[in-house]
Amino acid sequence: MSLPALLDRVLSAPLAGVGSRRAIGYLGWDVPVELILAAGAAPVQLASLAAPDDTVLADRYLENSFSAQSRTIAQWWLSGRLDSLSAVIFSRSDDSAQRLYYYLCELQRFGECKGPQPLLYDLARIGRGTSVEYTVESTHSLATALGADAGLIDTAIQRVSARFDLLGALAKLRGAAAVPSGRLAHRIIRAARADWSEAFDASLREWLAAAATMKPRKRVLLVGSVPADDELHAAIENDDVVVVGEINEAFVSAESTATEMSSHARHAGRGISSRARPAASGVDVGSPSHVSGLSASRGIEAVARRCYQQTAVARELLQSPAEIVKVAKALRADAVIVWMVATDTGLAWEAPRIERALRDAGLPTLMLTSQPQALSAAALTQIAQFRNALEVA
Amino acid sequence: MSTHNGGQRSRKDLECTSAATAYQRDFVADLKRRVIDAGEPFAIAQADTPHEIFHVMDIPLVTNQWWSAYISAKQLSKHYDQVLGDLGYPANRCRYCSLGLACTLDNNPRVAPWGGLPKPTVLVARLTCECIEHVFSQWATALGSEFFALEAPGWQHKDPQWFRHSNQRWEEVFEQRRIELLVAEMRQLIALLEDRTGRKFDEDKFLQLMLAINEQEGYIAEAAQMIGAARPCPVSIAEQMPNTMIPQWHRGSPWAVAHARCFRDEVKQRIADGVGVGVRERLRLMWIGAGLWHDPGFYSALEDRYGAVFVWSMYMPFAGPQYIRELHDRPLHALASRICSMNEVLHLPPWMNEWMVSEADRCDIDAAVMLVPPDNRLSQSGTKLTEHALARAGIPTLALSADMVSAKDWSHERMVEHVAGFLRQEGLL
Repeated sequence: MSLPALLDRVLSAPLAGVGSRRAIGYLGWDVPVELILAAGAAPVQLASLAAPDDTVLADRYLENSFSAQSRTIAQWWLSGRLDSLSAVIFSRSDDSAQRLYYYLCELQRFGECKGPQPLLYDLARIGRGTSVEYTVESTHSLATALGADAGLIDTAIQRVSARFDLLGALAKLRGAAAVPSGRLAHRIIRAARADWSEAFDASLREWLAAAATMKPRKRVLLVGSVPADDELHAAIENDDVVVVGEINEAFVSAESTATEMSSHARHAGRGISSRARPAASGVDVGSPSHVSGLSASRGIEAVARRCYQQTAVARELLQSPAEIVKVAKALRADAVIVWMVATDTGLAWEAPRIERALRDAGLPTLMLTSQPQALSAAALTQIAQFRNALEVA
Repeated sequence: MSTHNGGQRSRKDLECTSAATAYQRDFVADLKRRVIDAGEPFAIAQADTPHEIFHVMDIPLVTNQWWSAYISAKQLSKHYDQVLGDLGYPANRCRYCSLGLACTLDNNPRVAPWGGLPKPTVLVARLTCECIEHVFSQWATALGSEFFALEAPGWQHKDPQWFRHSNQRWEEVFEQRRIELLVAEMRQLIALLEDRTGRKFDEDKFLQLMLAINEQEGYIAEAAQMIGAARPCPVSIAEQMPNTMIPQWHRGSPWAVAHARCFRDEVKQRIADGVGVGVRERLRLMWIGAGLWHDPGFYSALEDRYGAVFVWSMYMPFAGPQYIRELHDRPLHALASRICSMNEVLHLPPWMNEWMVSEADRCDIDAAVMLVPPDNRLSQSGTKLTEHALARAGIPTLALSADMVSAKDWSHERMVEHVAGFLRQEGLL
């Protein structure tokens, strides 16, 4: 199947591709997919679920500050549409998602809903040795809860490594003079978390070998929240304006992981991947997880360190305006669009520093903060005006 | 009687209340002398951090929530909100914990209380929400200091009856691995403080402090039990709060222990004398959420006009289950068990809702009023599930969309009548 057709299928119905196999959902960009694979299940990133027509059931229990993504999952869950999953893993690193975990546990306790078993991936956040150790322990606990087969851990690590190698190659391609569309890259990254089949790898590999690229007139870097769909990219990418890179949890984690996991993806001076192990503030998080032949216990530990490193890279980069400027320059970006949804209340605190650094660096910048999840008419207008201004510049 | 924003002052009846506020006034003067005039090393910390460490090391502590309230009391919250807006912080930012940061960023000694805070030795916060890491990191940078973050790990052992078991079986209730993590972090914090200040953490002094805290919290818990059982309610929540929270800031000090004992005794005496809040108690209400700091007279208005008495708010009954700890010869672990879930039990299911239902039953509550601050995920958390749980227990709940520190969109009269309307609708008035 061609990659575009595969992406359409995966993104329109992420659960359909699983078929009758045991499937485990997950929410968060740093969940150890290796453990799901080692448990003999198909991993499905629930961030790809389509927003339902209404969220009446979710609204009964979720307050208004929950992310739209958490609300979507709650609605799917409460209406029984996730019953085919055996478990769902919520990452502690996603504030909204981890709260949803507690809510769903409680609703199940009271018989208000059934559905999969909610599990928490208790990933620590601080750049400190005790936090690394805690994450390793949490990862072992999750492996036990999932029933991960010790004999399959190493294979699963190789499997995930191969996927991230491909995503690293995509990142490299986007840093080149001629690039693929950012909208397509965004779709690939999202779908790559929802479909872990080897067929997906084969399709992506084939596409990468002869990717359609173009030389953009204006190169844009996108910074902030993870867009829920590709509408934002579609709005930006007109008249040969292309999104050539993104700094958000989904992309940074994919690209930094690729950097860690694959020697092929190490290409100095090419955007995000040029960051040399910046995470964890000097904490030694150990070896990357692509080393083969590890014992199961060592393998799980390596996976834990990968996840810890990955989330730290994303968090630290979004809190480092100077690094964002460096990424923009490495990508030869002509402009930056900062997109932050209103429920990303933590990220909101970074907006002024990011804006100041980008403007000081002479980069034309459009600040779209406090945004609703769906692209608003006002944002569309602002993007069009910004694009027009770039034409003149 | 009116404050600048339409809020009303609350009535104060207890001798203990004026004693507590007088002590706090003197303490603030002394804190200012030590931190500003004498330039002693000091720390800035969130309320849900191990203050006991600083007390033992005699390191002055500015609590972020207290400093925010102090700024608000100086009528400066609107100014500093504007400062953050002018600096480009988006409108959806959480306001509860950021007044101190705003005061520092404003860098205007003529406006700031005390002329602004100098550089602290360290800033400490638990990462209980996604904002706090950003606020404290930026605050530390602006002050030229260091942010020492504490993890707020997940909690998978869910004991709905945690409040019945937390004093003794804290290792099981709060999870051993979570406790061990915080103990390790606290040891690192102690090492940092010893290194930076030259002051030592004395284990014996710490043990004595923990024992004294147990005594203090025991008096408060006893008073909370008496208030819940008494008819009429002898102490308004406007007086429960200062008599619990002011000693709580100084927990384990001789003054705090003595004050808690005096308060317990005064409560007992009022019950013996048959003294109640307001004119006539017709209804017993529960206040869920942080205190309405900008309009404390809101509570007494409902008491005076309708005999709707707020018998319960979290601060006082929290002392028993969340602070008292059997030490089991491991005082640092006991302290960790106190701190590692302080926020979670108040904002997450099943801990929040089960405790509220139990407390409503204990205090014979007729209805609950719940504060739901907009744009504040942490403070909103668990409110709808708690509302459902209370409804199952036959307790109607009114959710008030309002902020605890900002009077924006708040009208005293409108809100009092809004609650009265709810009580009428429920057939309670």
